[in-house]
Amino acid sequence: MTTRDRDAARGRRRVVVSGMGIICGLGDELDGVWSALCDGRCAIRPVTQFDAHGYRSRLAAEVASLPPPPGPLRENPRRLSRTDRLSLYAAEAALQDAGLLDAAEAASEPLVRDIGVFFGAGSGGMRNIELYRRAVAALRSGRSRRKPNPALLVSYALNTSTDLVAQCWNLAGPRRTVATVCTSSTNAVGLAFRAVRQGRADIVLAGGGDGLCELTFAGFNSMRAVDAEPCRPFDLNRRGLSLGEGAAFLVLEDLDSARARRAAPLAECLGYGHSSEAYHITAPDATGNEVARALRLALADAGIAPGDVDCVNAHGTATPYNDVAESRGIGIALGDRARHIPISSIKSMVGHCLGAAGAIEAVAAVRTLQTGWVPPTIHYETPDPDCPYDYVPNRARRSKPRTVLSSNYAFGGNNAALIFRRWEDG
Amino acid sequence: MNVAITGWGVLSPLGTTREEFAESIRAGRSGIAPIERFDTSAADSHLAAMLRGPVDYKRHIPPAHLRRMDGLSRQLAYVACEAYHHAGLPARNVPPERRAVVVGGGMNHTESIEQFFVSLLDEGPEGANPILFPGTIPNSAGGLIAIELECRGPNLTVTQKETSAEAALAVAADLLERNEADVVLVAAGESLTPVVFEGLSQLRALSRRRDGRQEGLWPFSRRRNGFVAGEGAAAVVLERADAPQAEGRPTFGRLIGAVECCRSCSPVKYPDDPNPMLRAVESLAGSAGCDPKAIAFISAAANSTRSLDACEAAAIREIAQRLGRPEKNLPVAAIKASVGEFCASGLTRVLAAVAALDSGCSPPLPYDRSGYDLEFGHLRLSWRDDPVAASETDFLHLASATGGHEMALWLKVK
Repeated sequence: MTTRDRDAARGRRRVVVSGMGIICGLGDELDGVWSALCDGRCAIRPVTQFDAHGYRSRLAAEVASLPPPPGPLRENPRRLSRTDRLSLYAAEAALQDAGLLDAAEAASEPLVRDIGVFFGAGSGGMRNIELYRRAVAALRSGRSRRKPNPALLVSYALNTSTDLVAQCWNLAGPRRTVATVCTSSTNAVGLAFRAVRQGRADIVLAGGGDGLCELTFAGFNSMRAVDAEPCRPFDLNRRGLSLGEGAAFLVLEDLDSARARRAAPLAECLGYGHSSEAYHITAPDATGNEVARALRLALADAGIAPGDVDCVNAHGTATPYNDVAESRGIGIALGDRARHIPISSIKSMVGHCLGAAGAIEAVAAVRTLQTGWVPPTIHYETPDPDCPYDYVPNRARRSKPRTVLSSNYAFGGNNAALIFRRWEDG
Repeated sequence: MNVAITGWGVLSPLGTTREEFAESIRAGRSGIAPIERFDTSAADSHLAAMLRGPVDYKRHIPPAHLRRMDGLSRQLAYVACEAYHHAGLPARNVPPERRAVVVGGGMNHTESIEQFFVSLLDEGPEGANPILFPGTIPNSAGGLIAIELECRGPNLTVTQKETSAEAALAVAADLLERNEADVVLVAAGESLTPVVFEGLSQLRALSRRRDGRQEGLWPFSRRRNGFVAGEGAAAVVLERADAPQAEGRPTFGRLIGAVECCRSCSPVKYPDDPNPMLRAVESLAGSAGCDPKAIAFISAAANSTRSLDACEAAAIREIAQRLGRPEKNLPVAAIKASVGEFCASGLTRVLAAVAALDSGCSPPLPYDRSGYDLEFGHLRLSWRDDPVAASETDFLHLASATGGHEMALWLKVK
C-alpha cells in the first residue's frame, strides 16, 4: 500500500508545498540563495550589528541589507524588530511564490482568506530590547539625554512577527507561535502540516524568523559553543557553531486546494515527528537514542521505511556533542541506509539561524527534491570516526533524491523532524 | 474534543495551594495590592497582583535542580509537579514516551534575560554568564519540567500573549486526540519583573493614577482605564476523558471544545469586532456535548481596558441571544479583577472557574455590587453569593489578545 493509499484510507488529506520564501546571509531571493548553497558559498563573516570584540567568535552569517517593510507596515518601521522585518519579507516572498498575492491583486482586493500563520520564534525582537536597555542605561548614567523609544518594546512578545504577518495580509486562519528555539520553525511547519492534513485549514503559511542579537551571541560565546572560525559540521576539528539569522516560510496547502487554484506543488510534506529527551537542558543524549526516536516518529507518521529515505538535511551545528549524537541517531533510525545516502548541513554556509533554522533547512530540503542537487557541508576537511557518514564534503552532489528527511534538535532536549517527498503528479 | 483535567496545581496571589486558591476565588478576594518587590515611584502605576509568601519548592524539586532554574521555571516546574501528583501519576505506569509537556508562555523568562543582559551591559563580553544563558531561552521551563517528571513525549512551548494558555490547552488537546500522548502536562505562567512592568507602563497598557483618575482593574466599568498587571503559574494534567472514566479516577473538569478566531489587528491593539468571537462560540455550541442550557456563566477576558471590554460586552450580548440565554440570566465572571492580567492568565482563570463551579457558584467580582459603575447595563456580572443551578455544569471561557488572536473554550465541570 502506498503512502497515498494509506492517507486516503485514514481520511487524511495530502499536503503539498505550494510556495516558499527565504532570506538569510546568502541572499534574499530563493534561486539566488539556492545557487549560493550549491556553490558552497559561505555567508559567515565578521559581525556588523554590534561590537563583537572581546567575544570568542566575532563571526555570524548576517543578512547584509535589511529589506524595507511591506506596504501596509511601511509607515512605522521603527516599531518593527529585525526579526519582524526578515519574517515579513520571507512571508511575502512565499505568498508571492504560491501565487496567492497575484490572485488577490487580480481580484483587486486584499488577501482576506482563512490562511493560517504558524511561526517558529527564537529571540524575537530581542535586538530592539537591547537597544532600549542600552538607551535606558545611557540616560541613567547621564551619557545621553535621549529618552528611550517605547516602540522598541512592542516586539518583546515572541508572537509579534506572527501577528504582523497576519495583519499585513489579512490572514484570518489559525495562528500559532512555537518557541522551542532551534526546533521552533521545524515544529511550526510540522504543526501546520498536521493542521492542513486534519482539515483545520486549507492553507497555512508556516516558517520562522530570527534576527541576530547580542544576547544570543554573548550567550553562545559564554558557553564556548561557538567556533572562532566558520563552523565545520561533522569535521574532526570542529569547535562549535556559527550563528546566523534569517527567515523562511513555506506555504503548506491541501492538495485539492492547490489543484483548484492551479498552483503547482513544489513537493509533498509527508510526515512530522517530535519528542523530548528529558535528559539535560543544553546537552544532547550522547547515545543518539533520543534523536533516533524523533526520526522514527517522523518515518512512522509518513508511513515510510528507513530504506525510503534518500537524503538527510542534518541539523549539523558543528558543536562536538551535537554532531556525534545526531550521527548516532541517524545510524540507529536508518540503520544500514545511513551509510548509503548523503547527509549534509547547510549551517556551514548560513550559520545556525536558531528559530528560523528549521524553516530555512526545510526550504533547502524542498529545493533538493526539486533540483536533484544536495548542497554540501563546507569547511569539511578531516573525517571524525564518531561521525562516519557521507556528509557531502565541500561540493554539491547530484543524487536525485525522492525523499528527504530534515531534522533539528534544540536546547531543552527538544527534537523534531520533517519528511518531504519529490512531487510526482498523481 | 473531550479531554479531562485529572490533576492541577497553582501558584497565585490568591493562594499557593489548591485549597487556598479555591477558597479565595469563592470568597471573591482580590490579589491586587501595591507593588513592594520593586520600586515603582517613577511610574504612574503602582498596583499589581503578585505572588506573596514563601513557596516550598523543595517539596517537589531537589535543591540542586532548583539552583539551575530561574523564578518562572521554578514556578512552572512546581505547579507541574503539583498537578502530576494530584493526578496520581507517580503511582501509575504511564510510559515516559507517552507523557507530553505543553507550556504557554507570554513574555517568557524576563528575569533571566534581564540578569544576563545587565551583567553584559556592565562588564561587556566578560560579564556574559554561561550559567544564566540557558534560562533565557523560551522553552527552558518546558525542558526542565520534562527532566523533573521524565516526560519524553512531545514538548512544545507556545506563545500568543494573553491567549498563550488557551493556545497551550488547544495544542495539548490536539496531542491527545492524535494519540501522540496519554497524558499532557500543560503549564502556563508569567513573572512580573521590573522590565515587564516598565514596558507595559511605557506602552500605556496599565491602569494609571493620573489626572484625578484612580488605578484599578474594573471590568466593564465606566472607571476602567487599563489593566493591572498580574503574575502566577498554573498547571493541569490533561488526559483523554475515557481513560479516567474507565479506571474510576476522579476528574476536575473536561475541556469539550476549543475554537480560535483570528483577524488582522495591530500587535498593540485588541480586536474591535465582536463578530468573529460570536462565530467561534456558535461553532462551539454546535459541537458534541455543548449544551447552552448547561452554561453557568461566561468567564470573560475582560481586563478593564476601554476597547477590549467594550468589544467583549457587545460579543456577550450577541452570544447570549444566539445561545438562547437571556443576558440577564447568564452571569459574566471577570476573574482578572482578582488575579490581574498577564500573558498566561488563561489557565489560572480556567482553574478559578472550575473551583468556583465545583462548589456551586460563579467566580465573583472582588467588589461590592452596590456602587459598581457598570457601563454595559445588559451584562449581569457575577457577584458574591450568586449560586448557580444544579443543572448548570458548564462554563464558556473567552480569551482575547492584542494582535487579533482570540479563543473560546467550553468546559464541563460536573
